Amino acid sequence: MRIRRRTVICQQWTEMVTDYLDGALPRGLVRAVDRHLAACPHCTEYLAQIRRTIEVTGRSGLDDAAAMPDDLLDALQRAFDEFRAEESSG
Amino acid sequence: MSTSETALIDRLRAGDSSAFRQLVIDHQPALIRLANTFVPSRAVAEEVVQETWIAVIRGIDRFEQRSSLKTWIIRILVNIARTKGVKERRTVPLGSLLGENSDAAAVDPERFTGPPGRGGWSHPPAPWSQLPDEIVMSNATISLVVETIGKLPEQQRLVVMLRDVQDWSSSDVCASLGISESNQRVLLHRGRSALRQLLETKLGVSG
Repeated sequence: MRIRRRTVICQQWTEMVTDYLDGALPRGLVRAVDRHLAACPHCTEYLAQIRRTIEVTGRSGLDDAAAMPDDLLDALQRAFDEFRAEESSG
Repeated sequence: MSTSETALIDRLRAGDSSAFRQLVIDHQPALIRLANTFVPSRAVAEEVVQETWIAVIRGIDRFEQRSSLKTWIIRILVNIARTKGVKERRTVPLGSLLGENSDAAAVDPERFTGPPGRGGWSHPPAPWSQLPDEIVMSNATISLVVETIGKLPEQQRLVVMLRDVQDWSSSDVCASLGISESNQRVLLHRGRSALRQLLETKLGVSG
């Protein structure tokens, strides 16, 4: 059986990185990527940058998770109660 | 559908007010963040979320449980937010996904040398991934990222928000937005690539 080793070039890698991280690349291609990464510091840095980008993006909303003010929560709960009361009374 | 979720839905339908209150408390922050990506101001985002809860109250009896409760709520929010956001931004129908930037490259092709699409780096990424958190996670950097997320095409913005800000699984995102796994990855890829480029421009150490 002839085994043809796939190769991945830098520019191709920049378009595969999301599939790679999501585990959506075929196994042969993953091996080709790993061989390329082992040999190419720029593409290794590129992967590290994408990972870091995901990390920064993940932090972007953290300080924004404001709790709901109690008066709004009470108002919604009243709306719920009223609607359910109407429903059950037909 | 987990049994605890089925039980929760039963409690809501039975008019259990404290179950509803807890549902709101659990989901409110994520809904606000998501709504914020559609509409220009926090105030409008809060309005969107309020309307979403009202729609949940009115719709819970009709919820068919083909998706998770969270997915169902998100879909309601997306519809309401799009209606409101349409006045502020040019939006495209949720179905016409790949119309926006579908053939945009992750990295400017000018930075490679060699056959088109198969080039090696001529201008490799300026390194920044090893910089300390104090720089990479600084408030200045994070506000820039938030601003850039806000400028992404709508579909990319949504997928980036759900996957990378709210840490949803790819299958939850696909179910909520009604898109395929591969479309979802294309959108995520475009969004992440744009954000990486922004961070490289801001933080990359040249030379």
